[in-house]
Amino acid sequence: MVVTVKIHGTLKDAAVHPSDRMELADGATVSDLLIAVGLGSRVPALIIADGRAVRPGDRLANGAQVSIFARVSGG
Amino acid sequence: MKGYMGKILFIDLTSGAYWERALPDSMPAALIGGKGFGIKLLYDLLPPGTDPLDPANPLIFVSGPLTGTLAPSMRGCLVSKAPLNGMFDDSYFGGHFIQEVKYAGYDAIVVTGKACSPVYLVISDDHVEYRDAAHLWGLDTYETCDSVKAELGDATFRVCCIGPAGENLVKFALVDFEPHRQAGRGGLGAVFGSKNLKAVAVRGDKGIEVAHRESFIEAVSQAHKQLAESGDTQEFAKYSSVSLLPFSNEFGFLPVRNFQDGSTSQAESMNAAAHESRVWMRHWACAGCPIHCGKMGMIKRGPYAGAICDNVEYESVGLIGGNLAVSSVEAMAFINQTCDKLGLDTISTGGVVGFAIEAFERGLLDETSSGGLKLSFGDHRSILKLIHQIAHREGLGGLLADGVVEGAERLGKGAPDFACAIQGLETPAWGPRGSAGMGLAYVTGDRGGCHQRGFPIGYETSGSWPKGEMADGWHLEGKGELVSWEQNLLAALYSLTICEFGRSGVSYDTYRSMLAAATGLSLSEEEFLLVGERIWNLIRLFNLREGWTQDQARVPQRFKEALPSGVMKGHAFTDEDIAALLEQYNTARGWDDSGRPLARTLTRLGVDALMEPLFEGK
Amino acid sequence: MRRLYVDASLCTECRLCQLACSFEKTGAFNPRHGLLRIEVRKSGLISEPIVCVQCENPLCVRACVVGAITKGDDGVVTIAPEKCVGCGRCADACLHDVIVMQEKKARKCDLCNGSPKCVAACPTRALAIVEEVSQ
Repeated sequence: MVVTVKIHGTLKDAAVHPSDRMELADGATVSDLLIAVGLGSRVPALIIADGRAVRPGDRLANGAQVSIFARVSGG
Repeated sequence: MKGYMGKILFIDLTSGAYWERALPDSMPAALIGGKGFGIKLLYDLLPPGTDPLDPANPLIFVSGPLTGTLAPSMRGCLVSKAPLNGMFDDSYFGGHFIQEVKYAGYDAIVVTGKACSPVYLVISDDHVEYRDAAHLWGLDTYETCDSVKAELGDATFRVCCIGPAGENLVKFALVDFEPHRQAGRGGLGAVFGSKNLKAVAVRGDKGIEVAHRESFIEAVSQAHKQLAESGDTQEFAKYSSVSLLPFSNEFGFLPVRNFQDGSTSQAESMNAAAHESRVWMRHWACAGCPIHCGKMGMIKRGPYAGAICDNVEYESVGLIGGNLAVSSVEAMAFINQTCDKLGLDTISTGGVVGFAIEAFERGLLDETSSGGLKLSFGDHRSILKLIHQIAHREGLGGLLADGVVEGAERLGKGAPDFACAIQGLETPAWGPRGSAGMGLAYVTGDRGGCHQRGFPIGYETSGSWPKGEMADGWHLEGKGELVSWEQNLLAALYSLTICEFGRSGVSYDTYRSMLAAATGLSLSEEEFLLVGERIWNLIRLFNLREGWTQDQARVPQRFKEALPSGVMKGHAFTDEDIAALLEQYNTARGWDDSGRPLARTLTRLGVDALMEPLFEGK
Repeated sequence: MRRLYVDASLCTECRLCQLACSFEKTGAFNPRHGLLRIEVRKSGLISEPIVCVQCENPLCVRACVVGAITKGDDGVVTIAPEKCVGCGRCADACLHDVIVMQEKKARKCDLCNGSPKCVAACPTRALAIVEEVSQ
């Protein structure tokens, strides 16, 4: 399956394989996606899939739009 | 007590007199410093009902016990009654000024009265000098600062000053704290102007001592380590607060075209990477801060090429970039700097100008009323002209210089519906649509609808807060507890007084360790939060005394219209939502349903003891 | 020969170096009491730490009338406080204006016995200590 990914800020700099479209195995989790883009040990502050906050263990749907953020607190 | 300098300086501009008072022994343990000292001084010194532009309204510069040391806790606080909305106002500024106040020997400086003609103050070596400022009146903030330093023949003085906006009593005029920082909100620049006070210059030769050397150094090392290891903090370090833009835009929190929308397709041309590649040249830091979120840069292309400027913060990207649909980083940087030089709060200015442009588009204003200015979203040339008008109360500036609420009321014809302010303060670049918690934070903010007095958005979007799960922005549950908890915590932290970008990395335990090592004041987590709660209650009592009522706690019509885009598309506030949120909040705080602290709450917090005046107003 | 090395393009004006130095040398915090200074130029675009470079031909040594200043074998130029009479001639002569008069004595950077506190405090590595290899 394919998901579209937007990685923001220093996480984009840190990602080894940042790509707008990621091919993943069916039933892949958010964690699998993080490994696939090469974020390794960097923990994002927030991950959104199709408008909803998700956690590393959550499964992704085919065609999901994923946004990965480094910061969510104010200023 | 170490960490503190043990003295407060009082200056009366009417008589020309100045005198010192010892810092009362009871204050540190009860109020810590910063925000806490600020409310206590204002409560005691402001005669009830005083107009903010009256000479009797005091200007209070306060530091905290950690200020000026190696600890990453470097902001100062300017406290007064705000001309914009008549509420308590604590405006925080980084930079290097407040440190110099401590090096000069003072924890706080209080300025009252009014000079008979423009003056600037020179404070050094236990000595206060009045200098004529007639030749400085009319200069912008940068020119003023350079002139003062040249006249004093000593570039190591630290200077704060106002620009034309403060001189013209614009109600959202700021005080500039060189270099590159401002006390922005509430119109404290107009308080300066009403006192004929153009600038204050300080230099100090004293050193700040700490109680326990080794444990202080250890606690500071821990804080630095936490900052270096925090991904959150490193985001600030590299990309400054603009790093928040993609998040805000995706959710629909970003102000776009006078809050008509919450996201824009132009976000990528406005984001941190764009600023970094096109304008920024090097990192800049406030005193003692390893995060260096500031950036110095140069505009290299376009009509504003050649200008050397500091970075556009997230709020300004929101209110000037998003709200006015100015997507060019060069234009944004130049407008931002223009506001700084004229001495105008960028958040309020963006709100006021956004309102004016919408009014123009709706035909409520036209070229006759605007003196020939053709206003439209995205047109940075006319926006700049309007901003100059506002600073000088010329043309449309006459209508807009008292804030968006006042301007909309005078304009009539339904204008208040799209005047985006809460409790009289123009709305910052966060919703509130899309976040029930933020709506509550705005309607209960101590200085009006401010985004830095409780920021629930992070907890709502991630689904958790330190005490467990948190409902998302659509839902009302738990917001009363969340907002009141964070307001208390921030009030305590603002007494140290920290920069909250530091809070992204430094743990609350470490802040308390630094406080204990510096001063000997050992506060448990609970006691620390209690100080914050105590401060918050004192401020509510002050606001009530000065005429605030809970019917100010409402949102304008614009925020009752469904958010057109973003993850939170469709969200809007209703009066019932606000009423329900307020009920939760007042209950959580131990306040009655009109927002007044109950007697038992005040007793629990020891506020009764604090009501005894420690200082006398003139 | 040991000395401080500066890359001003990395300096952020945070003054942690000055704060660390003043705390080490005086036990209290005030950047003015640090033995290096920060020069800001070009409307704030540039900030440069100005440090003692332990000159090869130290003018301060030559300016001292009581022989209180010496350049050691490790290259470090030191003021002996017990000999210093506080005349200030060294400060007048200093190439970089980094000699400070404090409590009637001249004070200058002594590289903190090889572990400069300023270098340790700098968050961006704008400051380093280097060992120069002579020809």
